[in-house]
Amino acid sequence: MKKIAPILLLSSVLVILWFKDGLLLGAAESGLPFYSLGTQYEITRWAWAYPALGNITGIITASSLTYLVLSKVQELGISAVSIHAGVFWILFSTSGVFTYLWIRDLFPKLNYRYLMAGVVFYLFNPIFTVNVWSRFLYNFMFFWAFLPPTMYLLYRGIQRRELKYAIFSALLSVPFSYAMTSYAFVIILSGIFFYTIIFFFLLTRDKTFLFKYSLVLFSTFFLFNFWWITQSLNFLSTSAYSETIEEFFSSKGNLDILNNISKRLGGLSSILSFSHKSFVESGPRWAALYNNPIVRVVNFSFLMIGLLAFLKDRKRKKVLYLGILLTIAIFLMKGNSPPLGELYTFLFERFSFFQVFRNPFEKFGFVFVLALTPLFVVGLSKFGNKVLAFALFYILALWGYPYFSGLVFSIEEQGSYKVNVPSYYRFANQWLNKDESVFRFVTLPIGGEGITYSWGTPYSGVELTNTLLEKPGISFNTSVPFYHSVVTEMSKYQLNRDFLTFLPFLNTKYILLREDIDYKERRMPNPSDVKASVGQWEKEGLVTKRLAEGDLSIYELRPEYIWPKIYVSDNVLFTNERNLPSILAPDGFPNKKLSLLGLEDEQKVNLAGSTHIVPQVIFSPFLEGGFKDFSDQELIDNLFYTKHLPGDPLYPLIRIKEKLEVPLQEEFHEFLEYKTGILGKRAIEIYRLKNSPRLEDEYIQLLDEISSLIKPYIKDGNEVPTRVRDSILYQRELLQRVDSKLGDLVLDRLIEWRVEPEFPLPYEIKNYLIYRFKVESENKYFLRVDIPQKAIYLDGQPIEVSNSQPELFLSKGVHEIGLPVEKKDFLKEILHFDNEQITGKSNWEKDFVVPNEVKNYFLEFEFKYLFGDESFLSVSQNVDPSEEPGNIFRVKKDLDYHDWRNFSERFTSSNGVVGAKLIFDPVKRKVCQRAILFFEKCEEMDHDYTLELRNFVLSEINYPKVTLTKSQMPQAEAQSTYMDFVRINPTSYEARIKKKSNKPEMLVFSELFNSAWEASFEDGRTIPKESHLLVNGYANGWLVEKSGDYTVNIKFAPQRLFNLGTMVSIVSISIGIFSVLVLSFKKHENN
Amino acid sequence: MRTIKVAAIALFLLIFLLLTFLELVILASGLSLSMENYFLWLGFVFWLYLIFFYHLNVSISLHTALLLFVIGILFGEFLLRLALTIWILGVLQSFLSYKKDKNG
Repeated sequence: MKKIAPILLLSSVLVILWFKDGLLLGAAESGLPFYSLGTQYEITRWAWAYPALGNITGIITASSLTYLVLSKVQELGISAVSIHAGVFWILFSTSGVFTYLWIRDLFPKLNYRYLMAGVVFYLFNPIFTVNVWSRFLYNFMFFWAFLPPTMYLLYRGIQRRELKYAIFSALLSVPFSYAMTSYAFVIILSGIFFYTIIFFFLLTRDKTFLFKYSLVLFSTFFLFNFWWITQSLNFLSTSAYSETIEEFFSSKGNLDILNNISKRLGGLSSILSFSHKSFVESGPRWAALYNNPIVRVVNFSFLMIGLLAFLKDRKRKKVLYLGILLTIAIFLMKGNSPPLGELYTFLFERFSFFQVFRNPFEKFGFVFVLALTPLFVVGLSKFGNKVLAFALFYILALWGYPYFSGLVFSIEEQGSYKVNVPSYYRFANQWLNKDESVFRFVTLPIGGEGITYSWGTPYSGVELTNTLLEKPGISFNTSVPFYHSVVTEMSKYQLNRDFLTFLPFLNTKYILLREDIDYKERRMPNPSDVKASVGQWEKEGLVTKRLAEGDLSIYELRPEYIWPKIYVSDNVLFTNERNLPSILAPDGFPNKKLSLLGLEDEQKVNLAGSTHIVPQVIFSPFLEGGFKDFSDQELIDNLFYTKHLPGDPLYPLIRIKEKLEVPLQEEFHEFLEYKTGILGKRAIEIYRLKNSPRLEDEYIQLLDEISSLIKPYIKDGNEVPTRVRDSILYQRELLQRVDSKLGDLVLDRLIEWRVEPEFPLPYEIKNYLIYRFKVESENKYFLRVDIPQKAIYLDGQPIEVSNSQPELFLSKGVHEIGLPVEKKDFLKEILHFDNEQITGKSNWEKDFVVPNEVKNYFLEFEFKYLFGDESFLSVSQNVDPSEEPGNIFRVKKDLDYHDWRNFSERFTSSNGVVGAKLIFDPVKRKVCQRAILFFEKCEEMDHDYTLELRNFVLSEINYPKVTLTKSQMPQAEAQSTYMDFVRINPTSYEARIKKKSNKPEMLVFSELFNSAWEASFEDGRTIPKESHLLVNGYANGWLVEKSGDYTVNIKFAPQRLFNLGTMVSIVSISIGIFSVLVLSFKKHENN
Repeated sequence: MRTIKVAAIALFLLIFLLLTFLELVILASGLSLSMENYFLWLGFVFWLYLIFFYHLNVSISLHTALLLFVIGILFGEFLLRLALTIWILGVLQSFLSYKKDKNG
């Protein structure tokens, strides 16, 4: 006890320093769980988390035990701050004490002072300063504290050949189960277990014990943690996982992130000097201390001490064990940076589970410091007391500085992590809790996952409403399938009464208006503008103010806007439209409840309803009549110059030159143009050699690569850059003349990229708008066009337009409606001037007003540089953070062409913008001047220019609306079904239905769609999976055909498994504890 | 034998110092650095060749790696990368030699 007392004392000092103000700490994605631990427990104790629209809990259930224990402590009347401080004390003490015990077990002959050096080395290591403490994620902290005791028990068991330590190791994972809320940590922990077992297995003669040891270790770990393992595996098998992967993640996207992070953080000079490159270079000011060359060299020498220990003592098994682990950690930590980073990429691409290691520095950094700590101590012991004293002083003073000063919990711009939640949140919570009905509230203004509150002690991190208020509310947007699309659409209308159109579908009763946010920091609508809009809604009688407390106001919606969480409706609309205001205004909404189904459901369900199809994409195709009249040579002249063909002795050198000249991928346009240029060269080679399958394969591969760049670019409404488009059109024409198959393949791409229509249109008309529809069921549809048209083309053929709503018979599949239009038909000019001259010093600005909804804009002008060659044109909106305009465009002089050039760009306004400015700014360039001898003094300076502009036009894009509709009105006696429901818990609801008619209706359950939600009748009969549909864009719906009085039970199926898992865990943990006691007792008796 | 080993390693280091210089030239000319990976793979294969055909011992690998680490931290990332490739081989050699000793 005496020996570990300094560690406990150190933990106590740190915790007192951090919490002396009596404030909680909160930041990043972990938010502020200690504020209300009971709420956190309630969220994590079920297989389905109730906040927002609900979501599967999955691996997060691993944190439920921690929250259970802590919430019970809070119920005893202990303050949140004391519990927070207590948890930090436990984490620090556990980590320190077990680092000491582990190293002592490994190297019993080491002097106590060296062991203490090891302890502080682990506790204050700069890698952890950034990755654990500044990062401020609780699962990272728990994992950090969990590793030393695990290693201690694991090693002790193998060393002493006692199975009870395997059970101990597994038992230890239970109180530290919070650490397991990250798949990456579960994999790392398993990896350490596997590595340890395999290492000793290979180097030990008695393999039977190790076999038994590993069996006990893995089986007990699995059983003890069964409650959350079932949920994490279950998540992988539900629709939520596949939808998340499909919508928000892609292997390519993950690989791009890995490439970026590896490039940024994977440099060995940083890793080997315990340096997080981005943090020390552009993080808080105090972090710059760790970028000092002397500090980095000293840090590096600590690593060298560890490596030297390996070099000297590598014949000791434990040193070998640690040295290999350390080397593996360094190798993985650098990601796919050289050397041999290809191996990491190989694993990353082949094994999808490995993609959780997109940030290898952050994850494998744990193993790096863990393996290095004992080696460092061994190495240090070879250098004598002076070096020891220096190391201790250096670690405590320099590495410990951010800890003792509390700076580790601060980021420069956002200040300290200390948080004092204003009392009006408790008041609002109590007020909302008084309403016992089942409802949601929606918070305004609404933004993304992150928020900055302008409280007395500002908070910056994940949005906190679901922590501060217990009732479910929609208060931020995040990448959860369906939720994201609903909230994205809704957020566009925050200043518009159309916002209310979304609310009935979301079981909303209240609007929570907050004025305590730094809206610019997060590019959210200005609360004052939102307040004015809500005030207008109040005047119109749409909402009523119920509470005003501090910076919060709560408004209740008019009763017809409040739809219950579960309802039955025979009023069905089949649509692919997510922008509800455009389709829902009339027709008795919101008085008459409605369910929205997907177009693909029309044939699945036997329900009469209307159909409303909106185009998948709208675009202006490029119709120059092709390049049919060009000679072959003219086509070639328009592509990259190609002199040497394959077979030519110089050809390999040309290919090397092509590789070396690739521009940086970050310069998207240049990169894309270059790649297209190279594609053009391949096209010429194919044209000249006529038959070369290898070149054709290469062409297809490169075309695919270009396509993978273009598709995400045009997804946001951008058009394929002109130069790229023209080059591909020339290539297509050239290839068509020698290889029609390849030419057709290029054409398919051009259709996909919205350059050409799928169905050719007459070239006599130069400008069309193409509306591409996907029709799911063959039928007659009315075509609605909201501007008068003289001619309309369906799939390239003119149709009769005498009727205002022509009726069209459409087969299943893709169809295109072509409208011959002039620009004025869809571009509304909002800013215009003929001529202007701008210089770098002229502070040129032009204001324009943005209507109270999100709009697309088209900016077009001609420019000529009289002096200089580059400037920035930015669109600065009233909601943009200072220095971060919403859009920045580079206006660059073409080095080969000095006359007037055309500039055109599109952009979209952000949510809640009311005004914006167009600003011309000079670019910054590094200018160096000779100082003394060879030394230069460099600084970033504005690069001056003089620019002439003409025909400057900014327009709002308003495409004419074109829709396909079909109406099949429901029969009479609509809404005759009566129903009510009770909420038993977040995973179980009971709906009582009195259905008079026997025609089918939709039972809508307004929780996020998940395939694991099940509806069954009281006799236990489950409504078939085929009748479980996505309704209202996010919710669950079941087709009910049964008439009469009956009950439908709606349950989230994984809850049963969760209950079973919890039972298995409780029983096995009890058996585990009993077994350890028995084994210890037996050992004691034997001794 | 020892002279051959020392000569081989000296040659190796010379080649890589040359390549580092080349890297700097490439850097200065603003071109892509993708060639560097080939150099590293070459280094990896070369060191393997030394281990298998010249029975290069663990100590030389580890000492060379440590030396390169020290030079690398002062002069550049490329040498650190080279050092890590050699260190990895040294660690692998250490494991195999330990296993051999135990079994022997």
